[in-house]
Amino acid sequence: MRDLSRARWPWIVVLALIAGALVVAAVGDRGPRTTAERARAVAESIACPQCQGQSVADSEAPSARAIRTEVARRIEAGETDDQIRDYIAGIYGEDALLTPPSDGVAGLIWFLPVAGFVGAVGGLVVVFRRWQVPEDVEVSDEDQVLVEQARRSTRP
Amino acid sequence: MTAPVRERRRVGPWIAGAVLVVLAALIGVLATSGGDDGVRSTLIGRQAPGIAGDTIDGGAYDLAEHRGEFVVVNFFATWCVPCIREHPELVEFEERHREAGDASVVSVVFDSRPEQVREFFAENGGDWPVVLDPAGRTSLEYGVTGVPESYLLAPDGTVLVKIEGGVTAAALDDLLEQVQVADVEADHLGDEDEAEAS
Repeated sequence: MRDLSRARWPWIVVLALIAGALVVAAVGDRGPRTTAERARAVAESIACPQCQGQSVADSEAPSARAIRTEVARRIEAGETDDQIRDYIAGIYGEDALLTPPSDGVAGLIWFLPVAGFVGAVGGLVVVFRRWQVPEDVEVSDEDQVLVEQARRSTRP
Repeated sequence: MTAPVRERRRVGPWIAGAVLVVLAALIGVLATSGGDDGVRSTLIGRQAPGIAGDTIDGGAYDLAEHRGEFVVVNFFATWCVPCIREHPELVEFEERHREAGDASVVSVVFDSRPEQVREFFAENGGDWPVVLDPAGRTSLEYGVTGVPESYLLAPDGTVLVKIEGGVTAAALDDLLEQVQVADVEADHLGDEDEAEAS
């Protein structure tokens, strides 16, 4: 039992590291520093209304230019990135956002892969546990007799 | 003593169930996302964003001064072939309603220089306010995705319809008629309700 606990420690450490990395990635300070960098990051998360498959940051279409100007103006006015994205989504719809929202039906995009991963890991754990030979198996005398008889009958 | 033989639970149905749940969720997402019919607008039924600015003839325009009449807000560019094609239709519509005073047209310049726009109107006719939008802010507030694009505003300033592509005078008149008939029916129903209540 003690060996089993010792064998689990590396896994617990790995899981803790993964959890820590996820937390840092989710809430860590990763925002761009300058206004221009923020404007670029926000523009990269908005789809160009006039073009296919391009972000506002990468397009020279008139509407993309207008959105870039508005994004910069709103950053200067002190709005947060999410407030600016919400404003654009309020005009062009949620489809205008290249990063799907985390709530509502679209939030399933974030939830389903995690749920699938957790389900798959859980399934593997269940299967692996079933494959383990039970440690507390005790062979009875009757079983030993049966095995001995079977061996004798198969010997040439 | 013989070790207890654990009953083997069947995993297959659980996996199939999980796959079914995921598929059902995916179908739900696809079913509720709606088709991209190109004429949806978040503005419909809401107050139209304001339009106030300089016009190409050096005057000023303010949409707020046009309450009480239908307004066709037309976004166009001089380089846009469908805009050139629809222009005579706008001229016909505007002339037909100018005397009646029940509807007006305002054009908003989309990515064209003022001198190009003046030349465009000199060549193609049209005598209504043409508002400059140098930073594209008005186009942005209306959610314009391309030109030509038009919005029909009700006399109270709400957005009734968004039209992508060229308009025709007949289609605009049909829309006005539909809205007016709907208003009359709504008033009639309101009168009946009041009569029943009294």
